[in-house]
Amino acid sequence: MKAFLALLNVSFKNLILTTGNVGGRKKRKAATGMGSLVLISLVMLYISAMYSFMLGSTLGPLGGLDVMLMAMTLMATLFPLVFTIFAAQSLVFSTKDLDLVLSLPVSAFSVMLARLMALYLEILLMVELLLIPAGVVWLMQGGGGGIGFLLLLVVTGIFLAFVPTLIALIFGGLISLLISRFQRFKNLFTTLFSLLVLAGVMVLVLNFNASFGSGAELLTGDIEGFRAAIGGAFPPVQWLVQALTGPSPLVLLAIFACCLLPFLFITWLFSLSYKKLLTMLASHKLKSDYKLGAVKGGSSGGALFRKEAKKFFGTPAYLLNAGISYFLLIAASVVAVIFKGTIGEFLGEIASVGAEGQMILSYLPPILLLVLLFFAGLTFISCVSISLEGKTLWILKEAPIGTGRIFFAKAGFNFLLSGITIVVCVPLVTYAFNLWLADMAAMLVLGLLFSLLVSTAGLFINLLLPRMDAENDTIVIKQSASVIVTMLFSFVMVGGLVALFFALQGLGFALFSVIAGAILAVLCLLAILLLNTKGRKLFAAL
Amino acid sequence: MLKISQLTKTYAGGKKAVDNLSLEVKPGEVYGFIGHNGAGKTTTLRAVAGILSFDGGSITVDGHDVVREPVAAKRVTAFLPDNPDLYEFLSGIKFLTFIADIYDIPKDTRQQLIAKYADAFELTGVLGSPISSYSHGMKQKLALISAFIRQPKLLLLDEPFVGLDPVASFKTKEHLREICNAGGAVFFSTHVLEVAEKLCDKIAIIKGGRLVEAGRTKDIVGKSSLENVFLEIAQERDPGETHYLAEEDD
Repeated sequence: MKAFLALLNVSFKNLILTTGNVGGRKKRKAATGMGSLVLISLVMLYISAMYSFMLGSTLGPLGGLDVMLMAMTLMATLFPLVFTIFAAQSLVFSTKDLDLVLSLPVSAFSVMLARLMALYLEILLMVELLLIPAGVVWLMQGGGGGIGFLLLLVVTGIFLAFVPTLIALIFGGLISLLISRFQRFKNLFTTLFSLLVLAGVMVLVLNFNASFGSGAELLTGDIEGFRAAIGGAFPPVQWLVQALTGPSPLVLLAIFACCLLPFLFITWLFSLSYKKLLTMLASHKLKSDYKLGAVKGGSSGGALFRKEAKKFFGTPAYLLNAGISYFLLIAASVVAVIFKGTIGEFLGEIASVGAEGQMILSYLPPILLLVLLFFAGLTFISCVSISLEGKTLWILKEAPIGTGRIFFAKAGFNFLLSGITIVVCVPLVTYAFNLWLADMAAMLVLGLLFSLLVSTAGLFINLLLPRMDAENDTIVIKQSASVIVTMLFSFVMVGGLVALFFALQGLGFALFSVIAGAILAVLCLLAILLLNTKGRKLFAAL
Repeated sequence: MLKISQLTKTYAGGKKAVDNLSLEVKPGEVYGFIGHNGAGKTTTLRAVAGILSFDGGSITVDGHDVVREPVAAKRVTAFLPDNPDLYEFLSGIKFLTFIADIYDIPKDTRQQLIAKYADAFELTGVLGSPISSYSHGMKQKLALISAFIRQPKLLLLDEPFVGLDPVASFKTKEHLREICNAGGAVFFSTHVLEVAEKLCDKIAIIKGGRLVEAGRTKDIVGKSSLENVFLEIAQERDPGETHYLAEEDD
């Protein structure tokens, strides 16, 4: 037991804590590791409280408070996966400490379980932060059960957290098995598999929304039909909530067992081949038949750019996490073009309403713009690019290139990808929604300015909050304070533009675009100035 | 080629890693830098390479101050840390091409140099494979090749012989001599005292961040061995006391 707890302690610290960068100030060290976990927790709490309150206050008066619980339970199971589905592969199947781990007098099952439990603890925090506000809303809306219900919900969370942990383990294990057999296609497999899982999650989410989205049952007060719609899509969630609110202790115990026992069984199953799998992952098949041909030449700036591109496209976790919104934006734009006819009919119906309809239509360009900016702000490339240098930072620091050129490559690469996406998406959206060319021009300019701002500000934020000693890239990409802060910065910017639009409501989209463009341009200049002054000093101190 | 004057570096928490260190490496010299763990060797090397800022003193490389003219100083320098981490997502040849681009090495020259050093270190066959598949020794060799192809005037190496097989060690020593014969200089740290004794023209011994001995190898070693000298210094010599052994004019 002592050995297991020692392994768990090390695994958890490895997952969460960082020593911070050498020479960094205490404030910067504190903002990484635990700080990013606190930030994630606050985001979870905010989302859960907001959703729970919205659903509870809408469904409660209609006698559908249990539907709120079902929705939040489902969210508590799926949402942590967004942050952790790739973590199991790098945490549980890491080969960095292979020699040490395999030489310890501890069973493979204990090693695996300790690593998994570190991940479980992180997931548990998220699950509880999603469930507890729902429980509070349940009590506020007169759901009954008192503090005992809340405690029961906490206990439920403890068992529920095993479900996403198991999913992450299965995903990580399958990826690792594939990689161990086909090392040459490691990145391709990881990317394809990850895209498949993401597609699966999106289908689940769409199912989830669809079960709310028909709306007819809600509008007619037919909560039973509504309950059946959600319960039909996700039966275990309905059973769990019924057992909680019943309460049915035996059913609850059975559900707890169904959460825990498969987790233990699958972990044990993997542990049987754990050492073999780790050894295969650590073995490298080296081809030694390379013949030196003509060596290409290029500029130093081009070399830096190509390095950033190679890193981005060659690291599945980086590509999928930092660049997923590009895929979503382009996919959504293409879908909009395909359904242009349907969109046209829908807009026509709105227009036929009269003055009110015309007013709603006038909101269309700014709404599309703000959605575009929201997704453009979710690209986390430059804001992790310094951290991803990690132990190879010495190569850039000893190279005879100015810091400005390094910054240009990093922020420039982010801006290039965002810019290309915007230049592709905006004309498609303009065509699909039949907008004016002036609207398209405004969306292009504002989109590009916003992308430039996020690219440069993200890089500066990473210089302020670097994480140079993470064990692997996934931890940097998924658990960096710089990512969270950049995300919040983007949200605040978009929120600010929304507020600006409503403040200038009577003046039209054109004038709003000019003013917003001027503000974004000034902010871009400020960000570039900060990078060139404070940013250089921060980089030198790394 | 390299002039360090009164270099001082203090880390956060008040730890003085290097204290008032001065030494000079002339063109054509292989200069060894020896000291116990934590003596300040790596700090000194990194400060010279322009990677680490320092609190006092000055460093000039080929006449360029590393603080005022960092790019010019780095252009004539090649630095390799101990256990160098490389870009694992690149293949060997792509990494060498990257370095060649950064250092503006002409196309023809880089072709010849890569071929020469890759053959010398027997790494040509694996240059097409990703660095992530290399062993530690292969990575060390690749890092050395990336330093040699730059034809630096000053080569800074931190523990260069760790992980190298005997043939690679021999080749490395050969190429270090080549650099010095072409007018360059080499400044490297090592714990392998036999190598330092045989290879280095001059040696500096650092203890507690301070230079305690510096001069020509044969003068420092005398009739003893470098190991004995080092052990004696480690046990007895006060770090505040530096012995510069007089050298004859070249």
